[in-house]
Amino acid sequence: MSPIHSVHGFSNALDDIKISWLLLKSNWKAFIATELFALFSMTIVAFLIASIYFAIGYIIPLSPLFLDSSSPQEKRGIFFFSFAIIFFLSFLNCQYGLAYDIISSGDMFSEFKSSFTYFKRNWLPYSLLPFLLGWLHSLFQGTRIIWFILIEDMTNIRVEIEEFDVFPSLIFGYLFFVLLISTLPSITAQSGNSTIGRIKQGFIENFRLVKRKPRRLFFTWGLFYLIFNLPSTIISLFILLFYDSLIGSIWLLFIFFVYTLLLLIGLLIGTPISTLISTRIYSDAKLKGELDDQLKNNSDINNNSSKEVA
Amino acid sequence: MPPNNDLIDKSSQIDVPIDREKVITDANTLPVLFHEKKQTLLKILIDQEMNIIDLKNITGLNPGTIKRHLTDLLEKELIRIVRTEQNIYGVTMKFYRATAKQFVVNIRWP
Repeated sequence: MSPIHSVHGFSNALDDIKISWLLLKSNWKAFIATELFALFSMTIVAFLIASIYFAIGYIIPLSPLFLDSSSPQEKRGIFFFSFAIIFFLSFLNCQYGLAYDIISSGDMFSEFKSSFTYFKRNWLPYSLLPFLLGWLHSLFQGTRIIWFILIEDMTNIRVEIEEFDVFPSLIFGYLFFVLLISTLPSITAQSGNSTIGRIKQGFIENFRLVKRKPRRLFFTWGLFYLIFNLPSTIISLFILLFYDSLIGSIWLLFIFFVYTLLLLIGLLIGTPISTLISTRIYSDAKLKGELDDQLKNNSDINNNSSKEVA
Repeated sequence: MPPNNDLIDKSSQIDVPIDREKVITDANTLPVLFHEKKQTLLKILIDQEMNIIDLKNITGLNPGTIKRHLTDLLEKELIRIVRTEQNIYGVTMKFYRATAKQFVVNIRWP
């Protein structure tokens, strides 16, 4: 395998993924335990929320908050169950802590119980970033839908939004992901600052990394998306296009099985590998001083030069 | 298997000199010094510097267990971190070494 180069290409992107896979193989227990615990805890929290929600509904049957037919039941359900999703995402992203333990701390291994330490420290940023990514994605989807509607109005051609949505959704999801993903390893690596301070510094270092190492980020994550996201995207498009003709056919069951398998692979293998890749890229840049404040460095040089002249 | 540490350039390793002897006068250090597994690790680190994965490969102990023992040994200054470096996989490694080749207990009581 090639050592870390400053100029990044496809072979280096492949190395990033291969090395992260090796690191995952040595520490898979901690990562899988974290993910399973995240799923388990989300289920428990969702169950508790549902119990409280319906219990209050029965106790106060005439409460306008819960039984008002003008309030969409689905929106209230999503609002309450988003707490379960926040819990799930927070704990899922504790894998960044495990990746930090393996790559940056010097210990070269991780333990499941470390996840609780990182959850306690960083639950807020770990849940915030996925919501930010989802919100950005939804903004874009809204814009795209407006664009499709305009095309229909101007051309009288009926545009099937769902089928056209799939690949643009993948591409823009990828772009937002690459632009923001380095925030989490930065937040995880920091110590001593307040939560807001860590989030702020995380975004600063993230955008410095995007500015200074764009090739490495886009190549590596592009390859990652090809391996872990493109297959499920192709299958979802296939289902959208041929659903009507597949109803009642055994092939539909087979396709859903393959799709579910791909999603599970993405969750159980793709997610931990992504945390290792982003932590490795961040750690490499940090150790080489590539995330330092360039302006501060230049100003120090200028100050020293002016002192020498004096 | 974890990244192969043998791929580090051995010529870059520094043979950090250690004291010939260290006198222990704190009674609280004794449980640490005479703990069986800690002694096993300490004996290895007297001879050479090592990281946690190397110690795991030699002793067969779980890395988490090794780390806890090393933390106790560090706290009592029986070992120290001699260097930190990145291997070719970008993984940072901490190397530990004993602070002396021999530890002499000199405790007066009462």
